Amino acid sequence: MCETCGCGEAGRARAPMRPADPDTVRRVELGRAVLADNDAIAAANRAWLDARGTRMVDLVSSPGSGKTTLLEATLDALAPELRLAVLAGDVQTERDADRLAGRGVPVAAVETGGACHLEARDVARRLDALAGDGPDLLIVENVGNLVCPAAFDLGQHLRVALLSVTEGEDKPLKYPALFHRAAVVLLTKVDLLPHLRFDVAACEANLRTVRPDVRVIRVSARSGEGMEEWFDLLRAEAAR
Amino acid sequence: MHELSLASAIADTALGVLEREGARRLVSVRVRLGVLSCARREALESVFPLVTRDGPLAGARLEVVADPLVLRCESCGARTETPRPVLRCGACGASAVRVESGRDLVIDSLEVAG
Ligand SMILES: Nc1nc2c(ncn2[C@@H]2O[C@H](COP(=O)(O)OP(=O)(O)O)[C@@H](O)[C@H]2O)c(=O)[nH]1
Ligand SMILES: [Mg+2]
Ligand SMILES: [Zn+2]
Repeated sequence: MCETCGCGEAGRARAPMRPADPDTVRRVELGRAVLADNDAIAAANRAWLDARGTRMVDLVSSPGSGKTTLLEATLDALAPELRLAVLAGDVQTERDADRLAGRGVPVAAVETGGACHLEARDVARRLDALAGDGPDLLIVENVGNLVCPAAFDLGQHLRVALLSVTEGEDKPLKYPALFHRAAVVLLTKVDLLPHLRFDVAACEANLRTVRPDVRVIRVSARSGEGMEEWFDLLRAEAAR
Repeated sequence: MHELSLASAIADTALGVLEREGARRLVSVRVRLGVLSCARREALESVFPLVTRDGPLAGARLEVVADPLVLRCESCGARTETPRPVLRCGACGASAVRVESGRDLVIDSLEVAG
């Protein structure tokens, strides 16, 4: 018997060793992002919007940081001068979409059915109906969650994170992946600052640790502080 | 928890690779988990068995390798690495840095058999 491969044919002992053993293990190099499919849909969303001159702004935060409240005030202020559309993601209800309706702005709800984030395909499915006529801005209220939405590019042009002053200053360090991806952070509910021990400077330093060029705007939907600066930012985004 | 969707995406990719390679069974898959990716190792490891329960993926091993944050300094030009999510040049301390890698969860390689 052949000593090299045990094939029993001495004459073929020099044949390359290529056993047909079903358990031979071989390595396949890949180097592919796990979310490559989502990223491709996101890129298509962005191209679709670019072709219509629409900018997509994605709002992310913990539940209760003030996304819907901010959007209510934003629609009231900007609907008279800009063409807006809103997509509101929610785990189980369409409550946020209901709160935003009745302002002359098209609003669509995405019930994620338990999923803790929106994916690019959730947006893709609704683009035609919501933004087919090329509004200036498509604003997305992502699902309230500081972990998962970070991973999923939707095709947005700008991601804005909200961090309310009733949360800890160290949130950016605890959720670096999300805050790293937010070019703008709205520090919300600043009307409550006098009643709290919240170190704004420390919070901003933490934000810069994970995103050195972050733009921070302190806002209160209640008192109106900082809101004009936020609206100006959206006006500038719409004009891009 | 989005690790389940990530694990499902890994499983789908693995099935595609098996088919392309004409292989019958997945032995293991190695992923690189970037410092600024937003999956947690423990969560990934705990859901992976759920998406590889049967069929050609049954019993496959998941190997998670930590990918550091690789930064290129725009001030001094140094290329430095850190295991922490801190955007600061490891050589000169400047914060004008570009992220070269460490943001993603990447399927690095697979071991297939049959
Ligand atoms: N004091 C104060 N409360 C606010 C402000 N904005 C929102 N809230 C309150 O915070 C809670 C959650 O707000 P909501 O907009 O639903 O948060 P979302 O889950 O991020 O959409 C509600 O009770 C709001 O009334 C603010 O600027 N100041
Ligand atoms: Mg809301
Ligand atoms: Zn440097």
